[in-house]
Amino acid sequence: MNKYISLFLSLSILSIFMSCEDVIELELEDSSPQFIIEAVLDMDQNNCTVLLSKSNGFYESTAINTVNATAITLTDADGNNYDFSQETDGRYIAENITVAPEQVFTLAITDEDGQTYTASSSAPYPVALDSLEVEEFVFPFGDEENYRIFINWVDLEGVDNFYRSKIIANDTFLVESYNIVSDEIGDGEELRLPLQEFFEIGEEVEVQLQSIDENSYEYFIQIEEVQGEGGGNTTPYNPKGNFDNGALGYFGIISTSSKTVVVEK
Amino acid sequence: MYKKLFILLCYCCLGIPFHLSAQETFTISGYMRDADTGEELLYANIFVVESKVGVTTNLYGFYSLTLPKGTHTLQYSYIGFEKKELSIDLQQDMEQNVELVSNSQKLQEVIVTDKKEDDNITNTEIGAMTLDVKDAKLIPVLLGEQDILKTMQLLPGVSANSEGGSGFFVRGGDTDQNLILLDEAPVYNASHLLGFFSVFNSDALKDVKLYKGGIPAQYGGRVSSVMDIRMKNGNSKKWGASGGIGLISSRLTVEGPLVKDKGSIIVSGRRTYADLMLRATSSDFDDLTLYFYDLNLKANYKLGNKDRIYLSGYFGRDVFGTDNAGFDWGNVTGTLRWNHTFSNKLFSNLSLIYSDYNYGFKVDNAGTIIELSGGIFDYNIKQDFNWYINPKNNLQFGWQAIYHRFKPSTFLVDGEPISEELDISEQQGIEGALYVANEQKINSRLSLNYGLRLSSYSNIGPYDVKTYDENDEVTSTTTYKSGEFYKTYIGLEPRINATFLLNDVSSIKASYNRTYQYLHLLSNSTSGTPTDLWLPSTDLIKPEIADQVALGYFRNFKNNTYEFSVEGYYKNLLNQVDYEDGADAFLNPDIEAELVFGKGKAYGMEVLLRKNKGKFTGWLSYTLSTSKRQIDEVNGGEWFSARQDRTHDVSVVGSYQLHPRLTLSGSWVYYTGDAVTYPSGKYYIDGALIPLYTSRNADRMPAYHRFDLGLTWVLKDNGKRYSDLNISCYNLYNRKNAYTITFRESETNVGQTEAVRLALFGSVPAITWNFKF
Repeated sequence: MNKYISLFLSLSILSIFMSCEDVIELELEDSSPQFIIEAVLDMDQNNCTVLLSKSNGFYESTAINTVNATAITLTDADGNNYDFSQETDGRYIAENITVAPEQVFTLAITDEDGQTYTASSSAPYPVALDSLEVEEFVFPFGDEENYRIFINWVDLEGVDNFYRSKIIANDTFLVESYNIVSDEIGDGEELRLPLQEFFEIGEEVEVQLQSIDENSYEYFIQIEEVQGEGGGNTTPYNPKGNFDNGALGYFGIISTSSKTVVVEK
Repeated sequence: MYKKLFILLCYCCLGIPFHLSAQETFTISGYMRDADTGEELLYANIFVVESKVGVTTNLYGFYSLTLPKGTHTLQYSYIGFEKKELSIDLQQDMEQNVELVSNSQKLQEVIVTDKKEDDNITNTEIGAMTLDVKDAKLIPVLLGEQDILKTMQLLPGVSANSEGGSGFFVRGGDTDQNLILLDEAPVYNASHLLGFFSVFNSDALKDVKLYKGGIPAQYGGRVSSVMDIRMKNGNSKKWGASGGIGLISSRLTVEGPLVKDKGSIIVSGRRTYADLMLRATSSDFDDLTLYFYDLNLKANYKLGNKDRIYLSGYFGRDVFGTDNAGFDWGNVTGTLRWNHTFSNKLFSNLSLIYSDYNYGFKVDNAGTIIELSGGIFDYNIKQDFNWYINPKNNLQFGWQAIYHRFKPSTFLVDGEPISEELDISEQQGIEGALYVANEQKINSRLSLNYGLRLSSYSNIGPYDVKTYDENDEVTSTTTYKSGEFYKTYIGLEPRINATFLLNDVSSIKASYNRTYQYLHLLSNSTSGTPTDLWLPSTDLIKPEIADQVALGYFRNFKNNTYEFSVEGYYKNLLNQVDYEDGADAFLNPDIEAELVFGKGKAYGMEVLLRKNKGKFTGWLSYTLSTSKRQIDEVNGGEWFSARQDRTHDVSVVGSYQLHPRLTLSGSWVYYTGDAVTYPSGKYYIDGALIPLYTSRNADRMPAYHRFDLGLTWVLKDNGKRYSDLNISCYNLYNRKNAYTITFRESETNVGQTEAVRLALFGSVPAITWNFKF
């Protein structure tokens, strides 16, 4: 709904006044690099991947600035430890991890300065994606044909479930188009959600429905808010994940269910 | 004993000479009016030449002077009108209504006026600005739509909230800290079309006064400023019409006597037709509806000599729609007033006021109707008294009670609420106030205006009061029954202004005032949207409090041709409301849990140099100011700049009469860019770019500046018929002022981030034809 309102408001601005958009040179202060951790324990692959990086200057063109750790340990509630091996710079993996719902894992990472960051998460209950539905959507203006995709699934009753949907359209992962929902909208009910994207005829769309832990949910809700914004409209801030000692990023546990559809009339 | 004490009190405080009854005194009272239209003149001056005492008319044009028996020479004056001198022999109480003749052509030289030539020096007001509506029309504005709120922004201490916007900041305060009154009714959303136009149609307005500081005790409810807008009463002498046709709107006003010299009526309307123009440009807009309208109505009737009834109303609405969706919002206000003169010294006004703001959004999504609506409305009763005790004391007192009802937002799908999670309850409350103030001339040099306002706010059930823990989860809920009072705040608001005349042409003024604000507008966008929420004070949200001290020096030169003033102020703000990081205000019943509270301070210096007479008139205004906030949860508890912290703010306004029928006018504004937060770095989460921020509002938007030029050509003016043509250009040198700056990943160069500026208005020419007969 909020999106509809902003759409209407911006349309009215744009259409009445000949507003103009251009790229400008704006000097930005460079902050000291921050430590970023992206750690995901995949219940289906039985592995845990860790990506460590430092933030870049805003105009720096390097895609990602990886850094290495001096120690990484993953511990489950029974005290079992899993060892990580380094794949490439800043990328680590631990394998052969069996995960059951509600099982708690703790990840500890020590950076090159000797600072240790710790986060815990509880494994979610895996929920399967039932079906994808394609539906035509007519914009209020113009006559382009657009299609929306709805995801249908049945929520697991009696437990708190959190979901994140991801879209891979024609083999491209759409990094900013995802939904974050919790089963507050209907515990144990049949859920139906439109993807945050419009598609054209012939597109092959893979949709992943990830069951995620509550920490990841809280983190991605914040990420969604700061994404694509900046300077002016909202109050900008840095999303806080579940790591201590001020590390940015998160440690989450996921289970993925996916389906593919080709958009047709 | 009590009687003696009372006399002592009266003597000490009010200078009422009870024991000196040797000299007999009588009272002369009446109304001052415009001879052409019969409109009452507000804040007009009456001066007694022999004894050098004076008084001004009140908000209804009434005055009263108590003088010793004998002959006096009375000067009646009002800027833009011929001065009138009357010699009276006061042998008994008498009534004297005075009509002044306008001395000007339709094109005024003076744009912003004080009512008497040297009134700026002598009155007890500091931080107050008056705008004569008919004189503001020369200043070039966006799309030729005359707008008093935009003209006010050209004065020191007042600043626009955004490009082309009618919202304003006063002395470092936020937009919701301005009380905007239209015929005493609060207007909760004073903007049309995303803030580009104000809801005030200049044709229907008589007088506008803005208090930036030294706010009199009769006003309360907002901490930063009060803008008191009065509608015209309508011509009581003859019927007439006036109007204009412009690029995006047309206006028409009809006014005349209901019963000659007994009552008059005025109806004024304005409608924009942006959609018609858009439809003409492209068939894409065939289904588009986009317009706003304003309708102002006012009627008054005299019931004998002592009583007069006024009824005024305003209806305005923005409508936006396509074939399957609609969005509309607007205000309705109504005021019923009864003026009663108890005696020639005691004037009273009783007002019943209704004020409503609401919005509605409806979309038909393939047969499913989604509706969103919300708003706020008030019933308000107030009574004000003016007691003209003697020429040295004018006592004002009164009371007020407002019933507020807040309907934050209702979300319906096919007419049914979708979920309890999204159900935001209505809230109700009563805001009350009692005040007393006295304007006192201590001696020929020193005048004081001191008063006290006692205000209160009570929350009334039914309502569920929730408490929250650190994670914003509800920890307890207390249910209050319908009509149950569950929380009351009381505020004591002292107000004092002092004026000390150094000589005939200069004075020093000082003021202190405390103000309370019980209503808060929650908005997280730059320009404000129609769906922004008004919320009352609650257990959690404490009333906002401001203390302000101000000191000013006022000097006139060359027989009042030039006016100069410099004012300094310091303001301390308590209980300021802000969102915590990542707060979601939209359809959130637990929004209170996501608010954070802090304090603020603002200080600055304002300089105004104005030329009032001659072929060239205009002013130069400069403001140097700072506005900061401190909130424990934001920016690590460090002080940060408020968004409206504009270090420098300059306005130059001038108009030059090229020919009796041709006037050229221009204005140039410059201000420091808003304090904003830019990213200082970036990182990636699951492939998506996330900006990294360091401290709140540590960066600046680029400086804003713009030059507007206008030309007014009087086509016809023969006393009976009048018409003119106004041609103007907004942003003449086509400066691309940034409305927003956003950041994104470059489309052409992957991995590269860039800053994108959105500029709304380039050069915008406009043409308007105005008429009057």
